[in-house]
Amino acid sequence: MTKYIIGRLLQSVIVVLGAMIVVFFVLFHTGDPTLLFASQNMTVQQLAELRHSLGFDLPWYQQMFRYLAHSIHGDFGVSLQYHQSVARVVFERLPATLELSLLAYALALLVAIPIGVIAAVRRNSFWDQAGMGFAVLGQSIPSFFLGFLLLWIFSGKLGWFPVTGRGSGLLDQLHHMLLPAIALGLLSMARNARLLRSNLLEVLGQDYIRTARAKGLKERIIVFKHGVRNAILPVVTVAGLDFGVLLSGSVVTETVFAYPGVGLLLIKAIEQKDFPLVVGAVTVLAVIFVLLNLLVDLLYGYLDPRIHYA
Amino acid sequence: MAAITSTTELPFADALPKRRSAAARLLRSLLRRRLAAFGIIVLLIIIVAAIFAHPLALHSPSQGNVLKSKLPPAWMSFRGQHGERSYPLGTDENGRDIYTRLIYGARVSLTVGILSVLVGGAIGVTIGLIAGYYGRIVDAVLMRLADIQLAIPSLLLAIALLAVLGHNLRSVIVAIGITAWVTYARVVRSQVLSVREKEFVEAARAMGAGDLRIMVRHILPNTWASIIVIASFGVASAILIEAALSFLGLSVPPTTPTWGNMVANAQDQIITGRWWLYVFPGLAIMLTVLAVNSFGDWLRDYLDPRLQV
Repeated sequence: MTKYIIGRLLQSVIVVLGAMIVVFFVLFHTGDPTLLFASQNMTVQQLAELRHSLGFDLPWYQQMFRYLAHSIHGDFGVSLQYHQSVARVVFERLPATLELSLLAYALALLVAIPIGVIAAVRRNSFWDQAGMGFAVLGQSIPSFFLGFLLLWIFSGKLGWFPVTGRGSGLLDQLHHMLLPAIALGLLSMARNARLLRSNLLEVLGQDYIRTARAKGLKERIIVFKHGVRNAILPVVTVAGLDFGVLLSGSVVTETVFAYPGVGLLLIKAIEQKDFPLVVGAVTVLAVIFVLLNLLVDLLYGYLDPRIHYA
Repeated sequence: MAAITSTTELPFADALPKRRSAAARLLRSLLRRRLAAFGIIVLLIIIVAAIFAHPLALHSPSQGNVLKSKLPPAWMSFRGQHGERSYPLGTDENGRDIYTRLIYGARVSLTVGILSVLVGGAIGVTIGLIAGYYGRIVDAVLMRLADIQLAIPSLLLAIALLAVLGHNLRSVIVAIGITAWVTYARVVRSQVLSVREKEFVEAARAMGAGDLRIMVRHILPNTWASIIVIASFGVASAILIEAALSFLGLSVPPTTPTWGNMVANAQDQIITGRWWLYVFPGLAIMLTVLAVNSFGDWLRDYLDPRLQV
């Protein structure tokens, strides 16, 4: 098992490095960053000197190699907007995004599991149709539109929730996070509800469930202890994918709610062509995504005794 | 005894299941799933609206009449102003007709949706075929590439690609296509792996068929069903990604109305309460995606209910 973990970690490092190379390469072609450091009236000669001193005239593979070498030491360069180390800027905002994503996922599961279970247990009933209808709608609504609607209804008309920002203190922060978390998590909620329903239906049709019923076990125990425990596995598998969706969805959601996380940071950085910050932020997000996927795979291996990691 | 020429003349003909033509089977399956039928109708309406945008439009999509700005939809009044029939869904603060902009926006969404799926599908199917067929190192390298791409959230990759390719329609199609190829590759690859060792492939090889011919003529036809289903869901996903990109201002230039940038333009208006500015484009996106998803669900069940997609 340890060998598997080490192997996966090595793979993850390669994957993250690959991602960084791709992003670096893509952004490298967006233009000459020397112009961002230059002042108004520089001559061509002065520009060339500046370019040379900053190392921007080296071929792309040399620049990239230097960048990668530095980043292994944790030095992602300096942000052009904030004039602070990129690592510091990103890590300042990271907890906000992580909390938002975790809350969104927790809410998603909290709602999806009851909906999925009830839909499966009372198949073809009103609850089933309503639950699945809600799920299908949830997968079709664009997250920024949902964010707008939530803002309009709950912040604008009813005034129950604040419009922007993060708030201070635990309760206040939760208060600020709730609407964006709902907007962020709805897609995952809908998908998991459908997944759980279809898997639970399949599981409940199995022979061992029939045996349990024949034994006279209470239906509730059958459904939860035997049914849901087995049906929940694909939800765990999809969890890794869900986190990817959450992390990238946070870009849009944080923009709508002006929530100060890494997503909003990334958008602003792209607008301002803050090259080091963009690469740094994407790298950090990629690392988190990869680590989360590894955790999910390990969890899945632990939950399902049929899986053996050689 | 008279010769029996078809199954209907057999003595127990009534007990046999009736044969249905392919067309009849399709229609019956459609009618059973009313949601899917509704989805297809909605899709057809949107496609027609997109193609015939010019004659269907009431005003110019980008040139507004400032005298008619901030009108509510035709059936209601808002802060003393009443809507007008010729601006059925209201106007924005520049006096541009929302209904017209919606129709023109449909063009962008549908074009991006369909074409980006073609691009992504072409790339993905090719890579999946090659990886599955040749196996070993080629397979390992290509799948590592796929993993690397999956480590970057697709929206972010699209944003990064657009920064390089420029913000125009063609770049958006290519960028979204590039973010989507992995799913096609994976599914095609697993199909190839299961079909590769079958006898008819070996027979074809024995008859002298080259690799390319085997891949295209023998293996690929077995994968069409999965590809088509993935493609139909891919269209919905592409429409959503394009909407998010144009909401962020990173898609086509703002002179072309898209549903996403209509919502973005309406951002400041939430406070003023002019809901029609963002509710209609948002609903348009939602209904289109819903229609495509319903169609995809039906398609998957029709083609093969056992499909693991």
